[in-house]
Amino acid sequence: MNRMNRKRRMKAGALLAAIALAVTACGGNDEAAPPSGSESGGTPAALQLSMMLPSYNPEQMPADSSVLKALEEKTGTKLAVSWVPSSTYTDKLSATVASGELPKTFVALEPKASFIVNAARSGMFWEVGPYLKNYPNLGKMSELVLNNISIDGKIYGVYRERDLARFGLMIRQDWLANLGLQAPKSVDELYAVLKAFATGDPDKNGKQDTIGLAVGMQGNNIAGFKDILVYMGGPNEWELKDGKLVPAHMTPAYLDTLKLYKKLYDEKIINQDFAIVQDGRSVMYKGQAGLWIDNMLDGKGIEDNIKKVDPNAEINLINRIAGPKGDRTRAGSGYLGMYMIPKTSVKTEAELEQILAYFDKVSEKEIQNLMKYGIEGKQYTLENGSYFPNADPKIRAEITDGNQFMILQNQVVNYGTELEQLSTKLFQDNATFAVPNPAAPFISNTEIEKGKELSKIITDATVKFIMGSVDEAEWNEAVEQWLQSGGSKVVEEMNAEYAKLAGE
Amino acid sequence: MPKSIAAQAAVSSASRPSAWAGRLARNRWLYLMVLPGLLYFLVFKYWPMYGIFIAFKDFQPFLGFWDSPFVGLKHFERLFGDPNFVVLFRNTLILAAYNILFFFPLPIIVALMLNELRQELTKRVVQTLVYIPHFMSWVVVVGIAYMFLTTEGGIMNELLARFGGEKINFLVSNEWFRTIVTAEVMWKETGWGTIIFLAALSGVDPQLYEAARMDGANRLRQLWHITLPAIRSTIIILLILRLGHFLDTGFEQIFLMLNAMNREVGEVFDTYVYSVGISQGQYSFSTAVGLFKSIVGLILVVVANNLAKKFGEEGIY
Repeated sequence: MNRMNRKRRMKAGALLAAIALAVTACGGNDEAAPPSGSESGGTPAALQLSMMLPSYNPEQMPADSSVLKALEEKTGTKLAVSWVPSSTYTDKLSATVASGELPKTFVALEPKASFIVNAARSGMFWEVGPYLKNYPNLGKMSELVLNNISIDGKIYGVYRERDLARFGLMIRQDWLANLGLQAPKSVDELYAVLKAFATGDPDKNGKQDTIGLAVGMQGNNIAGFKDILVYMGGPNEWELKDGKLVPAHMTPAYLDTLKLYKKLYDEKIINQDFAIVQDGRSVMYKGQAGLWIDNMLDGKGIEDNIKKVDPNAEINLINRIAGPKGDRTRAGSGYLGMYMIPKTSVKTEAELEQILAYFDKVSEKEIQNLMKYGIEGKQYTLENGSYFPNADPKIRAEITDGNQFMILQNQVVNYGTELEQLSTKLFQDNATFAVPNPAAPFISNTEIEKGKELSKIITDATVKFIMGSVDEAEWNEAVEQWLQSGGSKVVEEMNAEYAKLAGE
Repeated sequence: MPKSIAAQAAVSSASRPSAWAGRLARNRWLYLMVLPGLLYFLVFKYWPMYGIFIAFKDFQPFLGFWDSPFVGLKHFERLFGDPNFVVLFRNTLILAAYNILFFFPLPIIVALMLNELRQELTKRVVQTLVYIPHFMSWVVVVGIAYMFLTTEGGIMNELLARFGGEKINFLVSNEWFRTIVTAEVMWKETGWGTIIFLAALSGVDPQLYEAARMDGANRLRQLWHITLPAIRSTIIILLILRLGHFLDTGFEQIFLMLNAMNREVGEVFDTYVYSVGISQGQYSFSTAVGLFKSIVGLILVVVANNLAKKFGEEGIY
């Protein structure tokens, strides 16, 4: 009996020990967070830099890419990159910010997204503004763009420079030729060309299976709408009228653009399913549409993709479409996202300076071109000064999304195919007549809280108007609803910010 | 009789501490064996619930859980005061009602039909085929639905056009949204739902059927008097459990089906929590919405369970 008891007791003890072990193992997890490799102190070892970047290609840059290796060598940095598809990037970033476990640096594609602004205000990110002047390249960043990315007047990141005005038309040149048409120069000509594309059998297959303009919902924006709005004399997001900021959808030009889109929809000149197409480029790729309006850098990719179904396809770029106010185009912000450095993973100023030094190095001419074109003799060759890209897909894959690493782009050599060179030229031309968004530097707290819900009201009503399920009166009701749900507060706050700036 | 129960209760409550300790001592090994399970629920289910406190705070990741400012019921006031709330609640309720009305009976019917099959092989093959869709992700299912229903070369619309009808823009209409969503659920989950009923059916004593046949009952009679009563309690328990998730309309599916033209009828709590919580980074507000949803679910489970008991069924607790 006694022995049996002891045996039982031992068994119970073993069980308890096992449970205790399991419980402590779980508890330990919470504390296993101290970031590795935050070497405090002055003598910096090789920088270990983890980063989160958006990818714009279905296939990611391989981890053993020779271009990535060259970048690591030249900057003396060990990089650990996690790529996230651009379409879900901002949501993924929001969830990562909420968890508090961020990499040492990441790109914020929308620096004014509410979760970024809130986190910045709570002190989550290093304010890099005061440091920039200590670096030869970063010190040359544009004041204008820095102002645009600022949050409450403070600069929390290093922006990635892009051309200011990159939007334009990518048109099927072969279709124009088939129909004997000239490239459109005005909004009216544009409509005529689109109509001909939809009805004149531009692909000469004897069937009515083409449309004029490819449209999709690009991240909840109707493709091309903002551009045509500006061609028609409308504003870029906000209009400055008599010293007051007015949102684009409350201008008469917006209604004109709405009516034009409705006409295009009714006459089957745009794809009838545009409201459920995530990316309108897919319609272009099928060789069914004649025009795409967006960043002209896409031209090359679109041409390559159409050539898979129609080898004779040819894309041309057009950047000047005249409307009631002459040639106009939409100015971007001059940047595509910014690199931010969270205090949760970069604890010391010394490490911050190391990371900024890396960004500075990336902005040197040599590395700018490395990340744009790859390694000479590998991704491309130069013969008598002309550029020949390597056609081997495996070697080309090594430079996939290389430009995501780039900070400044001011010293990139203009190589590339004819289309790529043309786009660069048109970007420069665009900059001479681009319409900026006058409200870009301002933040409205109501917009931070409710911006997405508010913009949904307008986007939904816009789509419904185009598809004919609401009329002009109901559209005006939607605008009224926007105002009442918080829109009027957004307008008020934006104008207060503007008045503050104008008063200075 | 009542008196003796009362007396017993008095006795047991008087001697409770020692009786309780005695029982504990007697069954200590059993209790010890229960311990890991209990700990599992405490550590992984109950302990994380402290997280719902952020519904009463303005959660800032950098400030952390404890240092984020306490705001009381602010987020709930915003939720109930929001004109969106009525729309969200209505959409969620209607979709949930569709689900219970049209989807819930379907696995039972299919299970009964499968049960009537004579050939074991046919039964197995059919059973496997109908639950394969369960393993497809919603992205695939919705993709298939899109391909069927789109106006640009979708099979449904091509057929409509061939037979001289008008093309219908199924995917961008308020009228079709709920029908399509419910139909997708039926296609995907019916087969999977049959498994548990088939298991219950296999437990029915074959002698009962034999006896019924002797008495001259045809198949329908057997179904009505033997099969259905045998699985009634299973049906009720599953229904109660389903009510606990009444307001969970499923995020992925709805999110994928939503667009500007059907948002009026399609936006539900789950998608709203996503767009407000994740896209806009209002973690506290979205937690409040989620908490509200759970409370509604809890109330429904309790009410349904009490009703079930009132009608002499077992219930889940």
